[in-house]
Amino acid sequence: MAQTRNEYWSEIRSVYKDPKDYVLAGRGNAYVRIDAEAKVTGTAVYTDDVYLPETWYCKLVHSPYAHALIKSIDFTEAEKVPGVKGFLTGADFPEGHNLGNPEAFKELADKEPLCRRKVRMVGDEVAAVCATTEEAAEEAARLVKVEYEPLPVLLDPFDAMALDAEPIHYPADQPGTANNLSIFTVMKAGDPDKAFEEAYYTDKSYYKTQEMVHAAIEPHGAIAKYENGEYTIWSTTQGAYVSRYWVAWGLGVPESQVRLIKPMVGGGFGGKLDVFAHELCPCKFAERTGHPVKCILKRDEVFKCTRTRHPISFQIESAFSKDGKLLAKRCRHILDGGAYGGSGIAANTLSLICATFPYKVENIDMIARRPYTNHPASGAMRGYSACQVHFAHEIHMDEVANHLGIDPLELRHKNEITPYYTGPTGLEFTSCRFKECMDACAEAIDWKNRWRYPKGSGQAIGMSGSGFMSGTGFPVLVTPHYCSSTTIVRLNREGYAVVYTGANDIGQGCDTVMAMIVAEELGLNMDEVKVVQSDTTTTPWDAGSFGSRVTFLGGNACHHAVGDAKLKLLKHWAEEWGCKPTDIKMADHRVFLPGDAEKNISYNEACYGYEEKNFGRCVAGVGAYNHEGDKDVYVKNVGNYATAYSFSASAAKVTVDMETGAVTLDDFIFGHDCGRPLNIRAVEGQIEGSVLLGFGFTCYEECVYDKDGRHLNPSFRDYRFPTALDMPNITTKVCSEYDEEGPLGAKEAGEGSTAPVGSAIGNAINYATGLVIKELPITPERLWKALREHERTGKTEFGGEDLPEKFANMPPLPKRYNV
Amino acid sequence: MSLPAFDYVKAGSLQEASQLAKEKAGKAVIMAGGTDVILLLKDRVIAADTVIDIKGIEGLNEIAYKEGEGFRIGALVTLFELQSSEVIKEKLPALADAAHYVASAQIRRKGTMVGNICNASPSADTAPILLAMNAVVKVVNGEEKKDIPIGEFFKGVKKTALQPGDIVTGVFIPELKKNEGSAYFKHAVRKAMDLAIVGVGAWVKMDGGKVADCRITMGGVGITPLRAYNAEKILIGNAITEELLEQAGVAASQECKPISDVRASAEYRTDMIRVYTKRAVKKAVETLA
Repeated sequence: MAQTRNEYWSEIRSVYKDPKDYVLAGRGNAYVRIDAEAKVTGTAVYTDDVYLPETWYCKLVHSPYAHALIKSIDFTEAEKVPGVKGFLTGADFPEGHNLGNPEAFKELADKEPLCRRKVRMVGDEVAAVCATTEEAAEEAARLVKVEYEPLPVLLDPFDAMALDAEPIHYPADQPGTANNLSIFTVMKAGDPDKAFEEAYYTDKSYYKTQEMVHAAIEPHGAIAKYENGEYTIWSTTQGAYVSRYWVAWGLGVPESQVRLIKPMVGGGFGGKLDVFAHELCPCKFAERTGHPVKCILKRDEVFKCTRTRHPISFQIESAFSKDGKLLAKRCRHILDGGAYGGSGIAANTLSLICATFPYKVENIDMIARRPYTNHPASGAMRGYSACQVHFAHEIHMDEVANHLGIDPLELRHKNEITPYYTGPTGLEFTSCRFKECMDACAEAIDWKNRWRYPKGSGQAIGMSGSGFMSGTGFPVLVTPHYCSSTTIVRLNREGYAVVYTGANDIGQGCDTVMAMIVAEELGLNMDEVKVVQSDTTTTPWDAGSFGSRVTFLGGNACHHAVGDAKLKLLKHWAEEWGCKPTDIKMADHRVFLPGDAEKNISYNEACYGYEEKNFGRCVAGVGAYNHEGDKDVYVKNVGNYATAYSFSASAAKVTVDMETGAVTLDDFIFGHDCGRPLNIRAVEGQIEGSVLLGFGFTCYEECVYDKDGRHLNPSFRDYRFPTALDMPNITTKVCSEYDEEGPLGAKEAGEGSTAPVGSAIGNAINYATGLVIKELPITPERLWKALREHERTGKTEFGGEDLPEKFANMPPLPKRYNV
Repeated sequence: MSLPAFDYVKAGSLQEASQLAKEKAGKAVIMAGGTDVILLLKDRVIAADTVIDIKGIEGLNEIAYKEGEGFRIGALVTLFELQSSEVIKEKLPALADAAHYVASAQIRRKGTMVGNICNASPSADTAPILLAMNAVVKVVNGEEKKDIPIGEFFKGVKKTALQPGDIVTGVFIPELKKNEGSAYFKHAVRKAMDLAIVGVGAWVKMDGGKVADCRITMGGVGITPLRAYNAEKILIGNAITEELLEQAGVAASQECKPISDVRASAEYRTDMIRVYTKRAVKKAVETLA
């Protein structure tokens, strides 16, 4: 009979090292990243660094219209450019094979590799050119003549939801029945109506966040070759297996004939989860020409044609008791989905789940709608939905505190999630140090003396808190047991181990984490563990880098794999030595029975002895990690979402130049509950990056469009994210406890850490100015405008002024998905 | 976009560079640090089939100071050399500040001040302070030498008074005499890698407690850097008070001619001229030589 998951795991767990013996995990400065030298010296190989002999180049032809029908495409002039080798249009790909993200929701896949009849955003890809040089391809792409018939452009998500709106994807059966909703999501629990009726305090507020981009330093790109009937593609992906699935689907070939290799990736932040034309077109050209073909996007193409963060409009109603107990929440989130779905379809559910964090609220009535518009497609982005939601809900929390006359910190404490709480829709929290995060930040910023900066004085401190999922269990593709991570570890008698990890290192350092886990368990040095990077031919299945899942799920898979190998090795030596496997230790490159000098051999000898007994077979371990979930968590919004949850708190000190509106972030304290940190420097690095992202989100970054949907600032000059010089001092407070389920006790540290930053800064700005700003970004000009208007009129609340009317006039939810 | 094909000529002398630039009138571009020129070529803003690199020409990389007269900044002096020059930091700190405001640390190690003004961007950071200091642009054309007062140098967006064959060899800046002071402030969203929303330069000459003479200059609010003559008139002959500074600020804001673009609205730029005029004049008065 097959072993149950628990029996299998408990046997492996029995040979795991005792955490008190860890020499790498959790120790400060114990080891450096395995790719540090390659990255610092510039020798690391990224996609654009992959050079194959006789490579040709591909350029894409983009739509200048945000919404239009394609009438004709004429290559006559483009063909005359010397070096041009071929063209592609939508007709070169199988019809109906649209690109999306989760296999389980394949019917929502909506992006043609190249548009056939219609374009839905400026930058939509309508054709591709192949030439012997990049310059020739660029020149020819410019000369491709496409005739369009422009359609009405929908840029406002509320306009897009109107029943008489121009249909973007789904044709209206009859006039007045347009449905431009990409997806909508409902989450309900308890009896919110009753709670609102009985509450001491109720309110209704509006907030709005903007469109921003990931701004990964490495632009998207791919190089493909075609040999022996197989496509091999090196791509800037966050998930080799998921990308491979959609590349194969888009080309109309079996997955067995597509190999996807993920080289070094220069940042993803969620923007490299989906599959794009720049990956499919080189494959097709490689097949047609026999040459390897490369396509690297320029920065403006990355802005226009990849993914953005969902702008969200919020209507929040809350009900509190007199002493500050959160009784109920009603929220309506409108997410601007842009032109396509892809990884963006998860945004609704995540926005609603995050709206319940990090507080206990038993009565909820939440609806999120994600209308299509003619903006670039919104998708996953670091702190997925959480950054927007925690901005709105945590600014709101301070407003409530001030109305009730309760200290904002105390109000948070009154409602905070505590360890092993189960939420009303079935979210199962485990380890939780949210209280400790809040207290650490409050102490470091000297919260109790916060009125040393009087309200409106131009200086202030602000705080906020958040929670996030640590280890999204959803495997994207359909897998047995909802399994989303697997790893193989091979022990070599020459004194090293090889880890074949499916986990996708995109710069966050997970290859280093996997090497560390293996080294820790086997008692090897870091450089004696060799990592094989994600590649669908050489490494096993993994769902990718998203959802704060890599360390938790991939790390656990790796831990199980090395545990499996270790168990085999130790079982063999236990038999030889007449002891139990659990008696034997592995450390300092030795395998030994403590206290017995005779039973103490090198790692090499141990592997050799095993192979001798097993006819030369090497020791190998296979590990997997699954989270027994169901895609219904996205459909019905009940059940547990993640394997664990991380918690964060932030405290910001700002100075506002009351004449110019410029905000200086003087000091930032971050408290994070990431379980046991596996690499303290990596955790600090993630948190510092999170503060940069959150500060950019709050005060700097925004995509700006003209009325026709043309992007006005698609460059790093005009899309102004903060630089190193704009950053404050950052103090990281790791407030952790060992998480029972986490790999070596760890939880996530890369995404949840972005969530409270914006609201801490926003609250600080509000106290510094005496205003309440409800819309992002709070750029110098916007704040200046609010300050001047306040002087003239006394108005104190700014932002989202258009929302009350828009929310009041939304059409009902369509029948199609009625609940 | 990719860099288009062009002929690259590394000139050995000013005469060679000038001669070739004249022959290729309209088709050649002079390059020093290249931090603007290469981008303009990539973006097809300039169409040149010849790039004339002057980095190999000797004698253009000096910061020379002559007491009683002023500074001569060679065409190849980088912005980083200017920001970190001891003599500039001591005797004309506003120029070091202006150089420091440009772009990023990496770009300032390649880009030059002369390049910054020859690019003639309305928001160039070194232009307002040079205008406030009454600098003179030194030009060679073949065997001919000429001086162009900085006030006559800028003709429009990306347009200067330079003629085909003109090579700027450097800029002369009069030194600050006793009781004179100057300042430059840039207002931008981020502290590096950003274009000025506005830049304000100021030069003052004090006589006792009163302003004997002054020049206020504004960047980013017109097709060229502008003088705020009315603001200057308000200050001259008067003692500096908060009220007077406010009046001057308001006057300057009425003299500027900004546009609205993706980086800032005209309304915001106008008010920032008011704010930074006050701050620049105040700083100039507080840091007299």
